[in-house]
Amino acid sequence: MAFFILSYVTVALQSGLTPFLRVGSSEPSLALLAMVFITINAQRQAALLGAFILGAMLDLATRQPFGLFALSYGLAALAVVWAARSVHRDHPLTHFFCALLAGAITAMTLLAHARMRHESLTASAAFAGVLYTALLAPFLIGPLQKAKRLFSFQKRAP
Amino acid sequence: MSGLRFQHVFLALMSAAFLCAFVLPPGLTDSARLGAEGLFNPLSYPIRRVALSLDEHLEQPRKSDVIDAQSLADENDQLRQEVARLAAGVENLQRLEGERQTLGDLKSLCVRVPVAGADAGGRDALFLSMPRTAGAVRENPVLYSGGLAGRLEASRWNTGSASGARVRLITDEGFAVTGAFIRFTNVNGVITPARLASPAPLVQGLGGGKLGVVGMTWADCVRARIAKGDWVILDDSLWPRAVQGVRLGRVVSVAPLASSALFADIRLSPDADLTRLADVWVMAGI
Repeated sequence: MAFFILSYVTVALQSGLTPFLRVGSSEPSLALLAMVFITINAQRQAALLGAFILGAMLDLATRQPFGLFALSYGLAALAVVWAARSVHRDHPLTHFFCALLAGAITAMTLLAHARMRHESLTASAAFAGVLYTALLAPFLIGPLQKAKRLFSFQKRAP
Repeated sequence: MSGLRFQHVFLALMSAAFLCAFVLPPGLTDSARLGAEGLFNPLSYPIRRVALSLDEHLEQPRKSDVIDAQSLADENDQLRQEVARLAAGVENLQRLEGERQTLGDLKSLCVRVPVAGADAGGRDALFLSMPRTAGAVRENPVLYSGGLAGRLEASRWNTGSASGARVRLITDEGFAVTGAFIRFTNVNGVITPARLASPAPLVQGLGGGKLGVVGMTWADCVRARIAKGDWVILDDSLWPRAVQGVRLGRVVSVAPLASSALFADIRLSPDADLTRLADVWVMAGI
C-alpha cells in the first residue's frame, strides 16, 4: 500500500512541479528517485516489479508511447538491484551513484527510442537531466530512508 | 512466486512494454490509456497551484501602481492579437463571399479549464482538470491569452464523465501547422497588421518549449524581409475558421540553416512558457 501511495504521489508531484523545477532544458525525474529508493531497499523480485509498475504509472502521465518508461525503469532496476548488493544503502553517495546509473539507463532507452522515431532528443539534454536528478538524490532519498519502516521492506537473502 | 516463474513473468512484462514502446504504432496504445488521463489530477492540481503562486511571487514582485507598464503592455498585446485575428477573419470573409462566418469574441466560443499538470515524461503536453462540460471534443483548439496553445488530444467530455483531458502543445516535437507572417506597421499614426509576402510557413514544434519554421528557403526569407519581432499567425485550412489569425509566436531569430545554407532557420517563441499555464481556453462551440 505504501508503495502505491509513494508511486502515485511521486508521479503527481512530477506532473505538477516539473515545469517549475526546470533548469535550462533539463528536468529532474522525481519518479526515478522513487524507483531508486524502492530498488535499493526491496527484495529483488519486489524491486523489479515495483520499478516496472512505477514506470507504467509514469507512462499514464505522459505523451511518450505507453510502455517506454515501464521498460526503461525495468531495465534500470535490473542494474540497480545488481549494483546495490554490495553498497551501504543509507549513504548519500550510494543514492547519487544509483540515481546516476538508473538515470543513464533510462536516458539511453529514451535516446534509442528518439533515434528510431527520428525525434531530436539530444544526448546532452538527456544526460543533463540525469545529472540534475542524481544531484537531488541525496536530498530526497535520504529522508525517505529514514521512513523506510513504513514500506515494510523484507530483508534481502544473502 | 518461485524465482523461475518470476523471471518468466518479468520477461513477459518487459517484452510487452518493448512491443508497446518500440513496435506498435503509438496511436494504438495511446487510445487505451486515454481513460486514465485524469488519474493524477486530484493531487497534481493543488501542487501545481501552489507552485504557480510561489513562482508568481518569486518572479514578479507586486507593484503598488494601479496601472503599471506591464499591464499596459499586456493590454496592448491583447489588442494587437485581436486586430491580427480580425484582419485574418476579414480576409476570409472577402475570400468566401456570402458564407456565414463567426467572428465574435473568441472567448464566447470557449470553456475556461484549469491546468492540472504538465507532461511527466519530457514531452510538451498539459493535463486539464475537467468539469462536466459538454461540447468540447477531441482535436478542438486550445487557446491561452497569448494565442494558440495546442489541440485537445483526448477527452471524455462528451460521455459526460468527470475526467481529465490532454492537450498537445504547439511546441511539442512534430506538431505542425501552416501560418502566415505579419508585421505591425505605423501608418499615419494607426498601427495596422500587414501580411508579409512569403510562401506559407510550416510551423513545427521542436520540443522543449521551442517552435520553428521549417522548409523555407533563405531566398524567400530575404525576399519577405522576415525579421526578429514579426508575428506568425495561424493560417491553416485544417483548423476551424474561428481560430484563423490567432498568434502562434514571435520571430526570435532568423539565420541561414547551419546544415544547409539554402534554407532558413527561423525560430519562434510563444508568448509564455506553455507548460506553466494556469488556465487554458478550450473551444467548445464549433
